[in-house]
Amino acid sequence: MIQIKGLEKSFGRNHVLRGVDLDIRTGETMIIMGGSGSGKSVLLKHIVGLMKPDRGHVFVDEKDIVRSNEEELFAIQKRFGYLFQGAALFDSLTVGENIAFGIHNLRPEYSPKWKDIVVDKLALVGLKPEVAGLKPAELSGGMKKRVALARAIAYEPDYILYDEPTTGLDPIMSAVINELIIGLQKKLNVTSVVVTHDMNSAYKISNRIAMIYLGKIVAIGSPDEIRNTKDPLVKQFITGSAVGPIQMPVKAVE
Amino acid sequence: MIWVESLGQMVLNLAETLGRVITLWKKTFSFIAKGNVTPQVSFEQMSKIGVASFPVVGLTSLFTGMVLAVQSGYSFIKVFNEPLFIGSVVGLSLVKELGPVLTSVVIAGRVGAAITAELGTMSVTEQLDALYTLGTSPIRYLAVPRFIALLVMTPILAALADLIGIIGGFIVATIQLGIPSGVYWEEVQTWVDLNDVCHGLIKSFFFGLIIVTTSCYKGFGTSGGAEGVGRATTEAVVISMVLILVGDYFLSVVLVAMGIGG
Repeated sequence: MIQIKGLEKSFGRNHVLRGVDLDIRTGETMIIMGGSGSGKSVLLKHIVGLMKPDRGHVFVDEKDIVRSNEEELFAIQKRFGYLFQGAALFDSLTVGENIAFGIHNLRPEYSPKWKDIVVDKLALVGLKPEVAGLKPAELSGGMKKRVALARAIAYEPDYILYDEPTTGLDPIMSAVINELIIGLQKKLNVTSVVVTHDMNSAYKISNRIAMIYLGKIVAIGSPDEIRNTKDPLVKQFITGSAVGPIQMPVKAVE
Repeated sequence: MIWVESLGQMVLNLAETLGRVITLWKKTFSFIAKGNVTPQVSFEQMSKIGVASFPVVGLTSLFTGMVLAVQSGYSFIKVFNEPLFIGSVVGLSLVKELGPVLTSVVIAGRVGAAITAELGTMSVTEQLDALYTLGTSPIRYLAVPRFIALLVMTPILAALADLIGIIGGFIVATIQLGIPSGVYWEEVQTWVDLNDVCHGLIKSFFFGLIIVTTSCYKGFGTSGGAEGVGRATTEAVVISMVLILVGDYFLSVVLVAMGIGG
C-alpha cells in the first residue's frame, strides 16, 4: 500500500504540490488525471523517491521513503517499475540490454536467463525477438514506449508507475497497452499508478480515479462515480470542455 | 542596496555549487575506494577519452614544440648571434607548462564537452531517473568510469605531449636552425630533470580532475531540453578552461614551494 500524506513541493516560486493526500491500495490500478503542469508527473516521481518533497510523507508498505537513507531507498526502489513519459531508453545500449538492465541489477538470480526473459517480455508488448538487437534510435516512438514498458516489467516489480503510457501511440497500440496493464494487475496482482490524460484508457483500466488540480487531489472515486460526477471541475476535465471553472491561460486567435 | 542583495545571492550560489561538487566527489571517490567500479566500462572510457584524443593532442604538441624552437631560435640569434639553449627552452616550457596546459585545454574542448552533452541529454530525457529506478546510481554508472578515465589518461597524454613537443623542437632545431642533434638533446637533458616532469604531470592530474568534475557536474544538472544541453556544454568548456588556467598559477606556486620543479 502506498500512502501519500500532505505532500508539498515547490520549484522556485512555482508551488507545484500543495498538500497531496492519497492512498493507493495493494493490487489496485489508480489513475491520476489532471491538466498539463498540474503536478502529476512530479507526484509520481515522489512515490519512487526520485524527488524529495519540501514537506509531507510517502509511505510504501508503512516505510517512509522520505526519511529513508540511500540503502533503504534502493531496497524500496527495487519493488517499483517505472514507465517514463518519453520512454527514457539508454541510447548507448541495445533494446535487449535495456530490458536486461534491471534484471542484472535488481534480480541477479534471473541474470543467467536474461536472454529468454527479454524475448518473453518483448512478445508481451507485441514485439519480435529481432528487435532486441536494435538501438533505441532505430525505433519508432510507439516501439520505444513498448520497449520501455518491457524494461519496467522485466524484473517483476510489485508496483508499476506509468507516466502517460498511451500518449503518442495509435489507438490500437493504446488498446494493447491498456490490456497489458489490466493483465498485469490480474495475473500478478501488481499495484499500478497511471498518470494519463486519456479518459478512455482511464475508464477501461482503473479501479479508482483521482483528479489533481492546483497541486491538490480534488476528486477521487470509481470510474463510474467520476463519469457521473456533478462536480463542475471534474466534469469539465473529463468532457474536455474549454468552458468551466478550469481556466487555461491561452490567448484566442483573433 | 541591490548590490548587497546580488552579492549575497552570489555567495549563496557559490556555496551551494561548492557543496554539490564536494558531494559529487565524496560519492564518486567512495565508490572508487570500495572498488565498486565496472572495469570494462572504465576501459571503454579510457579508450574513448584517451586513445581517441591522442592524434589531436599529438598534433598540437608537435607544432607547439616546433614553434617554440623557431621563436626562441631566431630571438637568441638576434641576441647572441647563434641559437643557444633551444633544447632547454623547448624542454622546460613543454614539460612544466605547455604540455600539461595545452593537453588539458584540448581534452576540455574535446572530451569535457562530449561528457556534458551526453550526461545532459540523459538528464533531460529522464535517462538518469531511469538509472535510479533500475537500481543503479548514475554516479557509479556514469561518473566513476569517466573520473577514472580522465584522472589516468590526462597525465599520460600530457607526458606524450611533452615527448612529441620536444621531438617537434628537435626537428626545427636540427633542420631549420642547423643545431647538431647531440647539442639539442644534451640541452634538454641538462635542464629538464625528473622533478620538472613531475611538476607538469601532477598539474595535469589536477587539470583532469577539473575537467571531469566540471563536465559531470554540469551534465548531471542539465535541464531545459536541447537548449539546456547546449548551454550546459558551453558553460562546462568555458569554466574548465578558465579553471585550468587560473589553477595552473596556484598549482605552480604550491608545487614550487614544495620543492617540486622549482
